[in-house]
Amino acid sequence: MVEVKKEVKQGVVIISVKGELDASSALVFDNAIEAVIAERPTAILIDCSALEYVSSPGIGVFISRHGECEDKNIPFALCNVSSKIGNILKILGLDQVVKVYTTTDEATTAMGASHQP
Amino acid sequence: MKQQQQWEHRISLNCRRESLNTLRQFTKEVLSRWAITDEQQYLLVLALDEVCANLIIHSHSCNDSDTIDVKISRANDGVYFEVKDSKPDSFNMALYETPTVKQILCEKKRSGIGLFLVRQIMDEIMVEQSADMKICRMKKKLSF
Repeated sequence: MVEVKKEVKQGVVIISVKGELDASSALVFDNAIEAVIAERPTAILIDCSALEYVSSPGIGVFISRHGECEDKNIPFALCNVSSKIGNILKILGLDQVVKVYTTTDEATTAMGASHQP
Repeated sequence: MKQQQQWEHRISLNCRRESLNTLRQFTKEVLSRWAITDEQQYLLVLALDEVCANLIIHSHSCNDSDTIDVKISRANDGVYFEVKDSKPDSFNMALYETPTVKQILCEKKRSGIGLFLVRQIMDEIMVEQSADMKICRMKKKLSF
């Protein structure tokens, strides 16, 4: 089971994901990000503070949606990543590709500021 | 991969996506009894989840009437997983060429990530195939 919520802070769309991102739930998460990208946001931040588990379908969403955002010049980042999930990102080298912020505030300040008019 | 059996736990899973959650809970519960760190538990749960997800989703097309059997055991030198699949012509992960990190990240590949992770996490992976059975055996070296 996964719950996905959306809010906007300092112009950054924050997508909070709660629960487990696996083969059953990754599509829900993917659809949520797809809908946000369609709105052409200033920046997208995935808040992982309540993300308990992620397997390859969920990681695949991170990778492909990050790539899509890169193509569309929309900053895309993660925040509040647990050490367990951070370890998986490291194994894949994803931590070198996708920006990972320690906290939501740090991320919104950096991402919002980088897109001030 | 000879092992000295000390503990073992088994679960049979119907081939539906929901079974993966059952498997993860079961695996976590078993591993937590064996003084394995949370970080290691997470990785081991992930590796077994990925292998079984592959079989359930791709080989069995989530056919609920099919089952796979999982055994988790521990010896002095590590943790062993065994996944028995009664569909011998199912996907053979030992023969699958996993993508490189570069392919995954640069080509934004979604397929192959799971098996890439399994190969990074587990120390030994063997697949035995007979006329009526396929068995995937994996080992993670750990000191107890």
